[in-house]
Amino acid sequence: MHSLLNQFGYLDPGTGSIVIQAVVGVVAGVTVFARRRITPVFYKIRNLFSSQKTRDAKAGKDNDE
Amino acid sequence: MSRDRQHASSFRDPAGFIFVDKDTVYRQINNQGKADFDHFIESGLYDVLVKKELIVPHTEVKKPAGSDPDRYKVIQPQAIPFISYPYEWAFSQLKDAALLTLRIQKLALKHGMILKDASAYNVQFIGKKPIFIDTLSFKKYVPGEPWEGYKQFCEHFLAPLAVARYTTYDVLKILAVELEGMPLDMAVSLLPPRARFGRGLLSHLYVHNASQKKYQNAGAAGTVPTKRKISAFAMDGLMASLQSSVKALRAPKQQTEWGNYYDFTNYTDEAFKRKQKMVRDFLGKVSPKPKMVWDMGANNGEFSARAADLGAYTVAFDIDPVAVERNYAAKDEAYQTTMLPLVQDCTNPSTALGWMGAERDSLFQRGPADVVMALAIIHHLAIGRNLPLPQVAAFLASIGKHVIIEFVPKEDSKVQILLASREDIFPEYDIEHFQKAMEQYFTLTEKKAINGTKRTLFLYKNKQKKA
Repeated sequence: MHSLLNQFGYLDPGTGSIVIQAVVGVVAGVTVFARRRITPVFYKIRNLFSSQKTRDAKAGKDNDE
Repeated sequence: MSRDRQHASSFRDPAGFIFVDKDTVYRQINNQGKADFDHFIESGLYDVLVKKELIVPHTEVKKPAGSDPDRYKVIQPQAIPFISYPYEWAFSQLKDAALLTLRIQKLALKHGMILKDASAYNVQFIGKKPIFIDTLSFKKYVPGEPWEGYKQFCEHFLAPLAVARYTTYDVLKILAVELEGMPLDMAVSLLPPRARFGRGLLSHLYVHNASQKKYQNAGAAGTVPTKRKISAFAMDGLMASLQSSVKALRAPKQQTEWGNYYDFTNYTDEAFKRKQKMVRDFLGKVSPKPKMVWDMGANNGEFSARAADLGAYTVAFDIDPVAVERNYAAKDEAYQTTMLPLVQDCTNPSTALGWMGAERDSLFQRGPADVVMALAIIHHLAIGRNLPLPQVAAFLASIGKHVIIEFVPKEDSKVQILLASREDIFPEYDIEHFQKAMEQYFTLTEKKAINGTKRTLFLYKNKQKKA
């Protein structure tokens, strides 16, 4: 068990938490990736029905580099 | 030697520790933490985080005192004006602390580093801005390695926020007992069935809990997975998922808006403005100029702002988490870094907690303040909570060098409401007894009736705790 953690082992990560990460991470990764692909298309369709104002309001996003 | 002054809460991480010397906080980096710290700086991650104001900047101490064979460096981080703890935060403060942690994690991963932990105690507030304080929380990231902090993130942040959102926001008080965060099995048992549909909650809370339970007694029964890899792709996915899960948790709706506040007071607009001015004047009369002001029962920070206007760092305490939430959510730029809203019950103030009862300071330990403001609160203490006036005076004397206090007499309509459904067992609740009680600990500086009301504003100076 120790071999896969850093040599400090500062925090007890919990075996169950490590195990589940891989599963949740992949599922989440796929979902996020898919959502990133689909959302622009979704917005294009939705914007046909909304005003410019709402479009601008929804445009603000988190930008870390 | 630094280890003599090691802080009672900083002993778990072999990479280094916090110590205090002459009221200044320092961080010693041990040789064990050298490689990671150097990479933290050299990779440019530190600069990015400082530039975005996400982490406390630090300066290096050129010639640290004494000798310590384990020591690599000593740094002096930017000071936090008032230390607060997650169990004193309103919902959105805990939520923003969670989002800050994830934002930092994402930036760290971009620079080949990862957070060693995800404790809510790694975050402090400067005014209304959350900031990361654990400079040693970063270690080199090897793609494929799992995140050690995932469990802690879910227990410190996601679980309590989710339970608060789906049950009642008061539930965050639990964090004063569960210092390691809310256990997932507790969260799952408290959440109503519909929480399963909350974004990400099924994975990060329910399934996570089930996984924890399954491997709880690992080693005793069945096989323990010896190799667990999580690809960089899955790691990114995990972070994005946690972020969207936290974002989706809705803050409590604020019942009253700024404009409606007046409806709930018995002040006329004119008298209210007059009180504002009087408070400002009284604050101006405090000498030396106050640097730290505590406003007890601050509600939405209306009067705390008067102290902040004069350049003081103001902590706006209120017992009502929704009021604190309202204060925190106010986007007034003027007070973003000078007013800190916190949840606190002055009849049951935060006590010292943790290992040896010393890791987290009590409210008293974090004082005294230069000025304590106690506006529209005395009747709640003396009548609402049956606290004798001499004891209220003693309490104020233990936390403030000066006190600005509004005496609310029995004739006031608000007190009449308090007395409406109970027997009046308060023969000594009047202004004469009030002044007598205060003068045991304070000398009177100013006294002025608030015209248009039955109330009087006082400015007192502590006889014992000198500025």
